[in-house]
Amino acid sequence: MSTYKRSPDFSSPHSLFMHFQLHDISQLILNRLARIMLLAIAVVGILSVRVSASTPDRGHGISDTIEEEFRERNGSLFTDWPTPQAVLVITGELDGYIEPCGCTGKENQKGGLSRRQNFLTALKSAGWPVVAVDLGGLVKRFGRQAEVKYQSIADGLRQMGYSGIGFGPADLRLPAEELVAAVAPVGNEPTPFLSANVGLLGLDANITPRFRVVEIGGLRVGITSVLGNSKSGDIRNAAIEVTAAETALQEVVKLMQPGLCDHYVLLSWGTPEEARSLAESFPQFDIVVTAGGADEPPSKLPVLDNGARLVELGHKGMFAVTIGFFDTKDDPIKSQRVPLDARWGESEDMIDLLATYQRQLESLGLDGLGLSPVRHQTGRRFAGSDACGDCHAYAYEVWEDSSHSYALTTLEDQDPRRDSDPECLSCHVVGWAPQRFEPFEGGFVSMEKTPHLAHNGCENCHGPAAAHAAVERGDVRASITERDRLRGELAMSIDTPESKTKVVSNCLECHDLDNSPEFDFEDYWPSVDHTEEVAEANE
Amino acid sequence: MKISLPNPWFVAIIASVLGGLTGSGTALLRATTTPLRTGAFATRSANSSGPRPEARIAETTYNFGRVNLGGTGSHAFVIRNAGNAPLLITKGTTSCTCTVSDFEGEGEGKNSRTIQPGEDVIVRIEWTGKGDGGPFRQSATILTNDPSQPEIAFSIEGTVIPTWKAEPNGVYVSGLSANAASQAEVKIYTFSEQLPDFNTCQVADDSFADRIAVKHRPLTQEEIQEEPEAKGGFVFTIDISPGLPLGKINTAIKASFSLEDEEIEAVVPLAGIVSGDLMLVGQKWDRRSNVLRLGTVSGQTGLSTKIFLTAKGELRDKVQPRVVDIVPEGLDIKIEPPSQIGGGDVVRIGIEIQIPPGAPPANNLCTETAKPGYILLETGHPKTPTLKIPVCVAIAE
Repeated sequence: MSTYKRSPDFSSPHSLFMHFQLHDISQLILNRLARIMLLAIAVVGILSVRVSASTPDRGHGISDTIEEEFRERNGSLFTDWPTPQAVLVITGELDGYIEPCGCTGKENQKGGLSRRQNFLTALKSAGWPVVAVDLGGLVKRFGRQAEVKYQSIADGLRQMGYSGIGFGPADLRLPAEELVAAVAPVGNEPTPFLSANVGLLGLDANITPRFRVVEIGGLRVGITSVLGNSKSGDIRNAAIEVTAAETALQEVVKLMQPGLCDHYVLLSWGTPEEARSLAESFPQFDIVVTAGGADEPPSKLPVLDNGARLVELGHKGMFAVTIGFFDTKDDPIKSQRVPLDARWGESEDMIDLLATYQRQLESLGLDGLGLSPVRHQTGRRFAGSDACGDCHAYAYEVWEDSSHSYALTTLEDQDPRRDSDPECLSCHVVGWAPQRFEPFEGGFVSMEKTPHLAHNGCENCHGPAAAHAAVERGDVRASITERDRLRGELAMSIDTPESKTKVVSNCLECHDLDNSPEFDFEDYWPSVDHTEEVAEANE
Repeated sequence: MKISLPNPWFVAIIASVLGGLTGSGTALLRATTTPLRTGAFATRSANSSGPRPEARIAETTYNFGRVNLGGTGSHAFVIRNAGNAPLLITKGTTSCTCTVSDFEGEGEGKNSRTIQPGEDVIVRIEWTGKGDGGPFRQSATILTNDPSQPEIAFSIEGTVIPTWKAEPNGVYVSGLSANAASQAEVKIYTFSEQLPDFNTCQVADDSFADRIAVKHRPLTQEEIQEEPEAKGGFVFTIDISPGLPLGKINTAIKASFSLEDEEIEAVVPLAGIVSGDLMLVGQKWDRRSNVLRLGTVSGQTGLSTKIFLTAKGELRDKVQPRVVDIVPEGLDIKIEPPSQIGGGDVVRIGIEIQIPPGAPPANNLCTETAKPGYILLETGHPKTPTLKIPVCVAIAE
């Protein structure tokens, strides 16, 4: 039928022809209307799919419940953001926090490379073109573990596709040969590390470029980094050349060709005052990133007098500041402080990287990490918590009921295990300096060699007790005076403000702001209270 | 065989219907499964023309300036309802060390309150200075039913002044020559009105006593002014003499002083690596095994890479390497002229290693059956006249 109507017989009588024409026109209009409606439905459908997928507010597979919980805790993300032309993700000052750590539970802390990768993936999955840069400051400590960690983090950032990574002062303390090995190009892939004024083995050795221009979402973004003059004096590494930031930028700005890029990004590892000064001297940079700010970056980016945005990042890699570029005159730049909390989930790539890092620590061992036991300030040795329990039954019972008594098990149960990581071990075994991450002489070595020193035991607060235990057991003969002296050395009290301050300070060695931000002695003490008064009350 | 294609209109209709159903279904699913939260309902009335609340805030950030460690502070932010419908505000989240006091005018424990049109409410943020000093910023979120501002983030910021601080807070010396002297300086700034009384200063580890000396003097007025709010302090000069054993230094400078009746012990880490005067650096240089790993190279395409020889110590300027012998013979070595790095304490010499296309096959992969190759250099350094660089490489045909 339809074929007949669409192929009229023009030799038919006029009336029939007229009738056909009217019928055909009405059909034609209906057809067109139907087509337009169907097209509209299809477009609306496709757009609604896009809109529903276009706000990257969580990692892959994260439930609404978790997303809502962390939105309530740390704020909503990308509210009212249309799809940007491109986004610039800025991170930095990781300070060695390759993962969040602490006794309040990982879910209650922010940061970590794993969540960072999932965040970047979520942006890309939403169809947002992403360019990621890092200010530097990958590590904070010095020594073999910091070297291994620097290499691991550098590998992780490469895997995430970073386009620019600067250097922090603690990075540049590491031996030049370690840095070169970590940052040099791999195969045909150029290195993401760059600096205008830091040259490993000299600026003219060209191991890292001085700047880079990347194209993303139709935009050209020029990126460079400097080490601020206030920090360059701290670099006592003769194989690294550091020139004045201003002089270096004058050269690099010329090379970057003003006007070539839509946006220019300066990663400045110095004080906020130095960053402001550089922004004023080099107005080409519309995004200036600084170190040395507060723990938490501001929720809105400050705009400097010349229009440049000053970006603070917070510390320990807890936030990723995201700047969106939009093709509109009204609001061409938006920013979002993104807390890297549990709504981003864990990425398999970074968990693998972390596992490799932990295996390296395990294979190096304490000797390979250069951790020679140091003398305890008292000169005494450790006995182990079981030896204390022989006499102090009630105190031992309280300890056994506390989480201190299985502190090492929590590291063994992690996936990957963390019981070869000195930065974790130092608060989970007996006989280590918690804040220096190194063992005391006679402190815990391994479960094979020193099982009696596993977990966070009595002597971490009271001090090494081997001599006291030996005298009390009768293994060593001592005068009553000597016996009492040894007892007195281990006694603690919270009865006076001075003695209580000493006790609390000891707790804070492990329950510090990093690992136990909610620690309050008054709240925590009752769960480990083993004073004589409590013991008598319980008898 | 004849293949009959479906009617294009039929395909278009099915595609449109499927597209529409998928899209609207996804949107509907998302809309119905996304939980509603306080403030979220605000967007529902965003486009309505009826009465609506409007939160008006004069400031969302307050700077406390410089405050003492352990001190407390609070600031009152004012929210005004400039709209024509009641404004509901609810206490949201806060950063870990600051608190939002209960909204004034409401009973204890109340987390929400309604502001009538034209009225104000005060949100007070209280804060206690913790940590080791330095910049701080804390924020608190208030949720509202204002469609244009479902969340208001208030923040307080400033700088906590510590009791004292060391600048730098550690001395780290990488690549220290065993044959050269070195010097470092640490400034201890104090911030109380009372000037510190110096007691003692020493290297923590006695075994370094004959090689590391520490001297001290009070800070000059000019030096004190370099640090904002500083009132006094000391400078420690650390002199490291030649002759330290190769390997790691891991010690500290311990200084004690009295400040406002308190005995303070400042511990400044002193760490470093003492290494030999000649060192090889490069991407393919395996620094753990001390071998150059070039791997298996195609003889047709060849290879080009570069390593660096660095020289430090008093005799660094005498280092002018010359190639004496190469195994396998397919390696082509070019040595660049020496150049100084930075202040000239280190001399760098680039060594270009090429395997040109057409190089003869070889197997020096460092296995049981394939001995390593090597590059033998005469260095010019009186104490290390020759340097043999092992090379693991196989050149395929």
